Amino acid sequence: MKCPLRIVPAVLFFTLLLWAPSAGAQDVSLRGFVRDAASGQALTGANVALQGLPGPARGAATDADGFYLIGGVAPGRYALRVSYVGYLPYTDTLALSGERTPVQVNAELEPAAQELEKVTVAAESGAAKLEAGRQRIRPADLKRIPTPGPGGDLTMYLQTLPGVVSAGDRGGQLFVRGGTPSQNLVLLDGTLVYQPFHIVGFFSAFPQDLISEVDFYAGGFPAEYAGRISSVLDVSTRAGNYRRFEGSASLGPFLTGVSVEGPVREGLSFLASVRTSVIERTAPTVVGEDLPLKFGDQFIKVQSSSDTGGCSVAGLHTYDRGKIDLESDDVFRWQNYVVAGRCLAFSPGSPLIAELKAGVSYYENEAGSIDESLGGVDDLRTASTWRLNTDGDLSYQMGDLNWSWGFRVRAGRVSYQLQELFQGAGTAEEDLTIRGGMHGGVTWTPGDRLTLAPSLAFTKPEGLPVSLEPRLRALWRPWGTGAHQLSAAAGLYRQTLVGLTDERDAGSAFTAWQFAPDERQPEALHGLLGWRSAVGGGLDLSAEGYYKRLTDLLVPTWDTNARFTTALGPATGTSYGFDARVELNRAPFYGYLGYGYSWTEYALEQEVFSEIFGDAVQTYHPQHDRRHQLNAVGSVDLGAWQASVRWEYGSGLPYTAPLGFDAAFDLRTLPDVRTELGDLRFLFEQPFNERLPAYHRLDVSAERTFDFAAADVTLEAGAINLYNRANLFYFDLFTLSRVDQLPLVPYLSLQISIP
Amino acid sequence: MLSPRSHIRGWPAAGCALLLAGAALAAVGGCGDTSFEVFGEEEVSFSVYGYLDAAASQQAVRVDPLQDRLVPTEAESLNVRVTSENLETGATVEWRDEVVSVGLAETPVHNFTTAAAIEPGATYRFTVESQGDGVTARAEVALPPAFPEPAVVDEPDLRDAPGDEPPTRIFVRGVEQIGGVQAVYDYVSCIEDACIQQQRVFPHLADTTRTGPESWTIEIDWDADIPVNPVATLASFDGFRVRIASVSEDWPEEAGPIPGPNDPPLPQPPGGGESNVEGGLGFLGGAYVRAFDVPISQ
Repeated sequence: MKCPLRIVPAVLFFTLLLWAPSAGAQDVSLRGFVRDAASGQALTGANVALQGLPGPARGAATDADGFYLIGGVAPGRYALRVSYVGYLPYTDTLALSGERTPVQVNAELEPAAQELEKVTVAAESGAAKLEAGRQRIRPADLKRIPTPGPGGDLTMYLQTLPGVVSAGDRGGQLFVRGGTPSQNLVLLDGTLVYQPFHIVGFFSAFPQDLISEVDFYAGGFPAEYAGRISSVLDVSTRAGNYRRFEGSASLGPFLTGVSVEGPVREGLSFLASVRTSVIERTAPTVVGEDLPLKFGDQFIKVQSSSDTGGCSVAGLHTYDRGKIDLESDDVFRWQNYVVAGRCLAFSPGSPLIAELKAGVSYYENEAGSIDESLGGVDDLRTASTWRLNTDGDLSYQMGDLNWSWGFRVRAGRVSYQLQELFQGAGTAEEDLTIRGGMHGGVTWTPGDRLTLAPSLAFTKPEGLPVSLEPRLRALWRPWGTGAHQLSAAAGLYRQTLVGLTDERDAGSAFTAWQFAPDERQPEALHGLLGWRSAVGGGLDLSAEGYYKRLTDLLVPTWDTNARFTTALGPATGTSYGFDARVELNRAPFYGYLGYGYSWTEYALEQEVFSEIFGDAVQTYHPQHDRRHQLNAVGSVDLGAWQASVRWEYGSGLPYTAPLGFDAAFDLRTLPDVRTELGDLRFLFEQPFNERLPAYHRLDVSAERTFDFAAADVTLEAGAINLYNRANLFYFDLFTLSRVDQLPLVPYLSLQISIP
Repeated sequence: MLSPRSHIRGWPAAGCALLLAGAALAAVGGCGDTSFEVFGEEEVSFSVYGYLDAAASQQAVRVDPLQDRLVPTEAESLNVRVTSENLETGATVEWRDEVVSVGLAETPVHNFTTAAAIEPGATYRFTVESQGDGVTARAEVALPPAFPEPAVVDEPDLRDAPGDEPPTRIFVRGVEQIGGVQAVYDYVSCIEDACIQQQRVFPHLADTTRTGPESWTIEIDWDADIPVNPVATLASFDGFRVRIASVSEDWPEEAGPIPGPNDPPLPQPPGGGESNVEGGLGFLGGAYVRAFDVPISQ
């Protein structure tokens, strides 16, 4: 029997993981859920502190489920304090013995006085609290970014982070630290969402009201995440209210929506939201120009909750359609369907915690030009993909070690009709492809100063060789507290399903998903090193450098023929840079300044280069290589009043400067120049050899909440691009038309909430 | 009933400060110049394409300025003097500018023409000189010698059963290098009762085999060329004309298979690819093109 040597380390690794928990330990684990006593909902980011009587203190923060775990606690007496801003703390005294572990303590926190009700600042989140590429994002963070709401949105927040580049305010494409949008893994309660960002770049399928917590990894993510090579956006949505019914309706110039939530029965709640855009109708008044863009989403979640876990099923549908360039006839349309199921469970006497996730993701998109004479869409390119995922994860706390391992099974299918957009990849409906994998890792925290978390992902895609992807995350706290921390991460990442986009065209939002060709799985090697300090007085500083080495990318080749079709060629890439962030969080004021430097270069191998340049490999900076980024955010939150301002600056993105256009002939066909036009050519010296002008924009908002007896009414006024700068989106070289981003957009929005 | 929270009194000063700061930024940032020069600096001004045909009575060469639009709607004015000089005799001929509309979009282009004789075996200097700024583009073109009319066997015979037609074979002598072979068909094809007169042109350089230093065999599978629509039937076959180009050594080298009539053009590298036009883009070849009719039996 053939046994490839490369899987031997993986077999040993996973055997070790299975064996390890059987070892005995005297230390105690403390775990439980922290919930809102009024609604029964999980409190995300609550602080759980365990103070020895006498002895050292230990602590943890609750996750999106409101779950906390403190392991490696020596037997003894402890004072437990669970706190969350805006709530009365929960306190208890515990006598922990090594004979009974884990110990479970659930806490329900009562809301505090009314004036603190809206202040929900969580200690673990914040732009400067970067930890080896990972940032934890909470709803309160989104609220500070002016968004033509009502309410904040995840995509607007992400765009304030160094290293996250948006192609423009239309199209919904985000590039993270040199990666491309199709290299980002976006999860909704553990299930993939292919394109959650709406065609208007201020909105996504993740508005502030639906989010419980987001883990955003700009790189260096652990082995539990597989299948993408750039970044991870792991979104956990919140549960509905378990105790009473609530609802809200909102109206703004871009979006209108309704959401309802409430109990189904004891321990079971629902949350539903429907939003649809109105900008197509309001744009002539609000923006002063036509914006033929339509988008919307529908979300529903049913969640059960108990003392030993909970299960949820979430459904999401998004829809986007519109013209990104008014001068062009191209129309884009895409939609997602996602069903995400997830269960978290443990038995009272067992240290094992189990998580099971199963879901289905479907995505389709199309692009084509409107041809009135044909009465419809011409040159329609379509692509769709669906994926079924099943994930099982177990974790086990044993002293200083937290072991975790799991399996994943993916089944998927892609189909596309590309009208030769990519030569050689015209039309296909690929058969069902199944791939399985495992991952395992351990988080070792020997004392207060060091945390090491090695992990390994093992994947066997159908028809492709086994992929072993080792990864490591490490934290070092030289003074033993989290106030000052050095973090590092490194890892190998591979991607089986690749998204092909015509990178020549900044205005294209069309992506064709295909399985990676044999032996050409895109691969990335990440290395990160960062430092963060909580200086005191609410001031946090952080800096992080990164390096990514990319191989086996598929990019459009260089060709002067003026046509929308292109061949694809293999490329390698290098991306490096650093982030620097300063954050001041001193209630009621908040300020943030973030700077990002980034450098990305692709090396494309194309035989024709050797004839022209003497070397078949040529390098260039791709379209998303933004060298400098600066973001400044300020807000003041006085309870009923809130005001925010955000200014962003981005240096110019690369573009291909044309030398001119002509028509060429292949003399071997003996052309007759008197009757033939020839092959139109777009002449350039090198692709992406010039840069567009720099981009900057100022957004402001002010919000006032009125408490009526029957409802809360929130009025928000603001403006996007306050000084009406004509920021260039892209230049259509074929039509010589300039496409600008949105001008000054004043807005007024209203939200009525019925508690 | 309205019940604003008690500790809020009026518009917060901090909010005002933020908005004022925004207004100050607006004053600075909004004035920024966002214009930019789209086109890169070009070192060449003209695109020159075509070939001098020593067998033709009329010459035509495409000479266009580099356009700033992909599909210009009107011809850019071109104040140039185009000449050809026989480098052996020194005889110089000035060519005439003709603006014609070509292609489906009727794109206006500049063709330069002359009825002056081009001598086989001679070398010519083709010069485009801008009258305004003196910018020039030039190419030196060597013409091959003339060659005798080829012999043809296996002419099309429509009396044969369909599918039995052998390819037409053409024997060429006196040619050192063949640069192009073209088959031009005139025929009527029908789909059910709907018939249409068609003319199709197919390249057949790939069907050329060298059999000696100056001899070649060309096989043209005319039955595979027409009718091009697989559901159509060939109602009549009225014309089969072949053009064979003997070319000089500097004829463009093969950059890949010649695309068929419905194929996209071959990828071309940045900068415009192989060129023999100094100070310009494109290629001006030298050829002796012999055209002859292949008899059809039916």
